[in-house]
Amino acid sequence: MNRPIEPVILVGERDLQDTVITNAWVRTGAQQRRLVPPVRVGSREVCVLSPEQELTVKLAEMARWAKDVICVSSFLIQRSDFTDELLKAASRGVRCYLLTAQKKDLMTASAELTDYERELVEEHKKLLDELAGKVKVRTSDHFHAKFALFDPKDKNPWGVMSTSNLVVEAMRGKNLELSVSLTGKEVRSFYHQFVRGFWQEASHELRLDGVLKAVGKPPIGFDLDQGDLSHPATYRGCNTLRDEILEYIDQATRSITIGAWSFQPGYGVASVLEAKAEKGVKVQVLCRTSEINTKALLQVLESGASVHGEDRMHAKFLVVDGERGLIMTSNFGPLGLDEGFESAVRLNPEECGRVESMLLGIAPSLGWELRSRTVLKDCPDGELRIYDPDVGALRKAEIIPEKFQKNLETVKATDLRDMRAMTIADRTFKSPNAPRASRFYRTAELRQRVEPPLLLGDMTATGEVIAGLPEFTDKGGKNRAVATSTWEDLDAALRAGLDGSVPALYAPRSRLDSAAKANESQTNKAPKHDK
Amino acid sequence: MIVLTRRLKVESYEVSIVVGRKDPKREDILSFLRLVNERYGSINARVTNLDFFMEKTEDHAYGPRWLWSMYDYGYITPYRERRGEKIDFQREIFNLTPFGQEVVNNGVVYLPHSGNFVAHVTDDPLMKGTELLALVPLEEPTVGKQWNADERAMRERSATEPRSVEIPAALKSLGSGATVELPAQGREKQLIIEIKGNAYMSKAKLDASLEIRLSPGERPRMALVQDGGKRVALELPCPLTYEIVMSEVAVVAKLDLDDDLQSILVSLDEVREKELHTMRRKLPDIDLEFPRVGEFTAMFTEDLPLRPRSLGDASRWASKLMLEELDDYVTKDGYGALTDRYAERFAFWYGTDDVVRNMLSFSEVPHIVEEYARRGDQRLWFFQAPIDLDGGVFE
Repeated sequence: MNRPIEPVILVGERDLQDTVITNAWVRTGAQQRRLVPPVRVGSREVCVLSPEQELTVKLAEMARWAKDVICVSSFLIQRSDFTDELLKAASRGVRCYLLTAQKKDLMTASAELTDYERELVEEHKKLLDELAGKVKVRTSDHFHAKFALFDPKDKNPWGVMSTSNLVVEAMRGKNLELSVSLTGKEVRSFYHQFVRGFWQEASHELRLDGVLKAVGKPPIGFDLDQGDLSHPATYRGCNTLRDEILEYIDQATRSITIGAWSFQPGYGVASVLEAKAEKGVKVQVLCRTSEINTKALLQVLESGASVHGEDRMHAKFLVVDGERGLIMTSNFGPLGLDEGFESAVRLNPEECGRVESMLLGIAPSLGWELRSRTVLKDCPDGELRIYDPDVGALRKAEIIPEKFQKNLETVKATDLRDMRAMTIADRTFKSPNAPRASRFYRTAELRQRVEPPLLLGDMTATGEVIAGLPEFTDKGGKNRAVATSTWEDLDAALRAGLDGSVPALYAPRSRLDSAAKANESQTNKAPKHDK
Repeated sequence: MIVLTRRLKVESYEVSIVVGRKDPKREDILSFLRLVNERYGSINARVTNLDFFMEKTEDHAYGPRWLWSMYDYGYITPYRERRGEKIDFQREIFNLTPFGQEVVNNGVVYLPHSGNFVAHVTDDPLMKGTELLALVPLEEPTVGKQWNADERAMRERSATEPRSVEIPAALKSLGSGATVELPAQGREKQLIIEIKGNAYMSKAKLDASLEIRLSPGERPRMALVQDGGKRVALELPCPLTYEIVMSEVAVVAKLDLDDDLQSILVSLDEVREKELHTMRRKLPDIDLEFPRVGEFTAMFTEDLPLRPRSLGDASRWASKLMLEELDDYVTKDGYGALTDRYAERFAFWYGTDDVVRNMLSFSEVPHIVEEYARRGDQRLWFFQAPIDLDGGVFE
């Protein structure tokens, strides 16, 4: 059967894998954060919190054994096994003291909170009502340190500092959080800070009726200056934590491993990290994949640092050259280092080394990596978070496995002989992976319709046949062409010696038939005339 | 301060009275009356003509006519008045009546106006001399002494309900030409020239009380208080003092008062719960009776101070107050200041140091804390937190 000549669709693919993406959080491909066992060095234990290393359980156990006094500080607190145990301790005569964020300030901030955070705030307020009268609660908007001290005045005191607020999910490791056990000396130092917080820094006290009442000056005869702090901290008139952090980074020669919930853009810490990275110090950052962190760390990243992130990365730490290190409750901004109420634990070289290894072991298993410049082929499918420095905002994008499909403009062939050899003319194709695109494609599938060259209506049959195809010409006889309606006729003509002197065009069968009839009648008349 | 009160018993009468009303325009009358006063026993028609009107003819009609009108107004009276005899205004010598004398003394001319009034009268012993509380005209009085017409009008008005009574003694004693103060009318002065005929009981009422305010060391202040709150200060006509009244209060209410009668002596056991902090006792209204002064209801505008009966009571009371009112944290160093603060509340009666010496000492605080803890009392924290959070550690 003869194949009629018809328009054809050309299909082709373009590889978009070299698309450049800048300032973006890219999925690492890790499905789940790596679980790591606690680091134990002597009596020190540093844990990455997880369902197996639940802080609640440890704190509840310690509270169970407390005899006299329990001092707790946490920005947020939620009902948990620990708070239940705290109430039990109170009922057996243990005096429990809590420093926490102020209800009013939590409410004020609630407009900026996520639903989850708002829920936490609500539970926090509810718990405070339950604790009223049983636990002595004092509040202030800047209480952010998280630690619990058990019988701090005893000869063998216990204590834990954590980067985690005392909320259930965080203590179970839903966030990336660290907890560190305190030595006896550290507990006493933290106790001195707690005392200052209670008497000097608190703005309100929770009374029996659940009402927060403004607190006055410390009682007459109280000496708040007694007992120096041996641990770095932030509170009114004390910024040893900030000074120590800046000093550690400044003195780094080989490596800096640093992490926090937030890095404040333009704050000193980000600047010194950038300077160190430029000098070739290996800077590795773990942080939350937030806009503020991206903004703060872009320059550090461009200077050669690596930045890994997770949405709920809440641990705060700093390890320098694998030898000096801190685990702290403060983020790297003025709120924690200049004005807040924060604490930190100093790590010895052995602890530093092991904690740094533990954290760097976790880093690749965090879901995100911040890259200043990357190409698509180096990124896995899935979500992207791209920072737009012009807008100063992080926007969501996606790398998708599906092909990008595009229909190009229809083209017309000039000769049937060329039509079969035509490829896609993609001069008009524009990549879908524009800098501000919300979807990124690895390949594009292009389609183009090619229409056959049509014999124009003003051309008439000459009566001549060239290689089996009828010849046509215009009125002036200037343009000549042969025409066919099937590929088989064209192939037969080519085999019969159709050369390139006249173009081969497409004409419908009906037109070719009428041309043949006209020829035939002209041929029949000629012999009569000759007679 | 104590306030003694009692309602005044007031009786009201309708009476015909000639009252004097000021008429400052009548300088001529004042000049004439002064002349009469100066020329006692010599003023007749002739003298009036010559020395008052400056007329030369003795029998000119001005003199007698003028004397007649002065007589009619009640300023003058014949030197020798003979009952029933016609007065010869041509020849008779005239002297001032008490009313005329009043005009001269005050330098103000009062023209007699006669009319019917409601007189509110009390017989309260503390209102002696001011028994006539108010004089309220039943209609506008008219100039002159129209006795008969006024009396007739009154009789006609009360014909349906005759209530004729004797003029009350308090009114009768006013006599003629007396200027009285009317306490219930803002101590307004009223010249009463004459009261005539009988009085009639009136249905009009005047509700008023007497109030005496007494404070230690101060002069008593008496006032007439009318319903509606209008007050008029009056002189207390008897030596009633705060001390006299408090002595009577102590007897009637069975109170043990201190020597200066200004506070109630109590032992701590006698102090009621709400009195513990106020250190005062609210006394109910007490009915008292004083000889020659009468009955009163005594009200206390403020609660009476309670005074600890002994130093021991004061110290125990101060300790109890301190613990009850404790609302802030206290350290051992601050405890002294706290005890001082509470001891000072008894400084009016006892030395602060003496009270402190017998108060709860800081060494006894642990027992208190234990007790608070047992009861779940929140004040536990005020002692305990400074101990727990003193920054000290056991090495």
